[in-house]
Amino acid sequence: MVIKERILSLGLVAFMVAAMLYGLWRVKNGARAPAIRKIPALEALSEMIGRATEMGRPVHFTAGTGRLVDQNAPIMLASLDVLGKSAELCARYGSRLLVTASDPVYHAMCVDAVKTSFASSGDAEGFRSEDVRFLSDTQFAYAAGAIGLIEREKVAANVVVGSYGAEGLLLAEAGANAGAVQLAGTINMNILPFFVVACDYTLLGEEIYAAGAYLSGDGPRVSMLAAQDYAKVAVILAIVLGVVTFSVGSRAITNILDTFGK
Amino acid sequence: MRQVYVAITLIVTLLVAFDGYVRVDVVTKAAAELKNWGIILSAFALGLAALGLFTLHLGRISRRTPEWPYSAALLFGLVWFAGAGTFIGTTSPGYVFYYRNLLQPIGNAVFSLLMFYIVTAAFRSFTINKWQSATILITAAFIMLGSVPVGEVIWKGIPEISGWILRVPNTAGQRGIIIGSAIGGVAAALRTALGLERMRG
Amino acid sequence: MTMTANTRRLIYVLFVIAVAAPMVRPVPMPLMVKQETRDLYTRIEQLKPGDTVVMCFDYSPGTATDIHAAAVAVFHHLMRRPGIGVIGVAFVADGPQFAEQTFATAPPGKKYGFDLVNLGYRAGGENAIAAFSQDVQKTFPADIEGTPAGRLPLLSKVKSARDFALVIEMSGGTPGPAEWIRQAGQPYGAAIGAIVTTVMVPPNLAYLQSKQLAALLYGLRGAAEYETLVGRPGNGLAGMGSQSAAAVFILLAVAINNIRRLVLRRRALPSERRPAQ
Repeated sequence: MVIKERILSLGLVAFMVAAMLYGLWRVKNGARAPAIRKIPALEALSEMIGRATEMGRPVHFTAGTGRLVDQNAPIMLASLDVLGKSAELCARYGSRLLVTASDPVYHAMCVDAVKTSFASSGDAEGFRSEDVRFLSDTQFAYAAGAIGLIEREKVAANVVVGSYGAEGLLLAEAGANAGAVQLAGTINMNILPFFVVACDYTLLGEEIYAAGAYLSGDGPRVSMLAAQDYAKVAVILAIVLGVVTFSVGSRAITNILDTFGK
Repeated sequence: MRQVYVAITLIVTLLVAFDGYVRVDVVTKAAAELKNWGIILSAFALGLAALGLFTLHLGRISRRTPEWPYSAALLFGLVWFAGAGTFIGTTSPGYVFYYRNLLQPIGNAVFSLLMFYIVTAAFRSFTINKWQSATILITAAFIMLGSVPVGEVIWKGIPEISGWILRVPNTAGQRGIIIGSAIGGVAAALRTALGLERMRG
Repeated sequence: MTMTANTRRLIYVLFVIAVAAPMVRPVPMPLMVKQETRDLYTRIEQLKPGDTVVMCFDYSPGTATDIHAAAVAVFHHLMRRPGIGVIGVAFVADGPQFAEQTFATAPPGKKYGFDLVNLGYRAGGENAIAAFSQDVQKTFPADIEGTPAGRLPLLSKVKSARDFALVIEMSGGTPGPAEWIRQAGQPYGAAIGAIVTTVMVPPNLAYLQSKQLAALLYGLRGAAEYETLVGRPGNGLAGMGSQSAAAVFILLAVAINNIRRLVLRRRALPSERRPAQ
């Protein structure tokens, strides 16, 4: 009944679910949430938006051209946490926030996230729906619109966190030309190197998933983050064990992985 | 009401996820049906995108904003493509002419902007005053020259070094990030399925 | 260090001249064919009459400049092999147009419906790939012209990804080879070859090394190599001169900039020297 080649994968997922629920249970019963190491890029968000406020120039946020109905959904949802925090900081400092979206459903969620953040920061009047824009669902049409907006409005802070293709570099360079400080992050491996080179701060891969827990400091969310780390430790142990045993001539671990872990 | 949404999300996630782990007829059939529903939802999302564009740009035209001529051009293109594709077919001469002689060159042109931006990004970032940026510069030089024929003309060792960089340190780093991102994605999906993620919209 | 607008314009103009020059006056250069390209060539040479290959056109006009030449070269190789059927699909909206452009170059004697079929586009990305791998005709009940799948003899040979002799995924982003590996390669054992933009090569090398990908073509360079193997020069080979010039230009510009910064720093008085940025 269970596919033999997927047993290890199923085990890992079950382990993650158990770790998440256990972490959640512990925090809800009064235990302290684990500490997260500093993520410099997220620490810099406040400074970036403060700088934009001092310069009297707007902040721009984009989550790229991913869709909520495909495999990019987790990263798009995770980017909303960064948007929420950016909006909260903009509301607090009195800075203008421009948001561009490439997915109409995501656009609706952005409107909600920004509106909620402004309201919770005590500046409900400061929210402008015309500043949260749906540009286009086509990759380069979206990029052309966003580039134009970034350069016309001369944004001072450019937050580029989400799912990107080639348009990621276009957005990063447009921000650089406008003189903006840039925070970028994506799980798309083909664009990540460009972000590292072209932007001031970069979130690498799953640091974006950690952003929600990190920025909110919410105990339950942090404890769920720890479950990811436990899964990673398990994978690292399997890799190390496999390399060591293979190097000494034993195929035991490799055979187990080949049989149960395809 | 929230519990209903969470219950639906959990059931759908379990069915589609278990299809990958078990061979049970009813699960396979249910998962296949849900995947087809997913395709239909994606198609509707595209329609929603078109509707969103329509209302946004129609608004700009009616308010005579400074960019209203561009909005008019966009709506003309939208209506033409949608109409031509629906009524005369996406392989018809009219559709294909507009696609190959307008849309394709525009797409090529916008993509080619990348090349100019890469030049300025490299100019700005590839400096030798710090060891990290010097490492990036030297690595990038080998990879770039290894990817083009002139690299072999300059020195036969360039493609070999470039190949080694791609096969060994690059792949090691990529694997690490792929594994981490995959685990993060699974965790995010599990949080959504279990109703532990904040609902928006 | 910020660049002035005039410096940027000068660099752009010189760059255009550098890239255009080899088009006006081509410079022949040797081209080493990579093992990854040979692997795809060998894989196609080993196909048997009656095998069906899926060519997945997941690229748009922007990325077509890097991929389309390779798609045409590979398609020609497939058409030269006797008895091979080619099914064109797309999970990116622009894909069917490139499938049409590629199939239009089919040699005389090839019959639509028997030797090639263009199924068109399905929305949904990886989800649509999963559905297609599970049940071809349920996902595409008709081809791009609306002809029912039941009336296309080529489709009668394939029910699921288990029946694909080879999948050639041509992608400029998402969906890409990883999605095909997850939905067709691992569950159904389908052999996956990929043609990707140069920028997508590094992440996909990991899949090639673990043999989850059977072969990988590196963008326009891969097209040039494949054209060399099949003996059919095209846009791939034509673009190698400009690509070489572009790479050399960028590196020269970076070198000149670094030398300039070094000289300026040395000329500055000790009290004026700032910490390196």
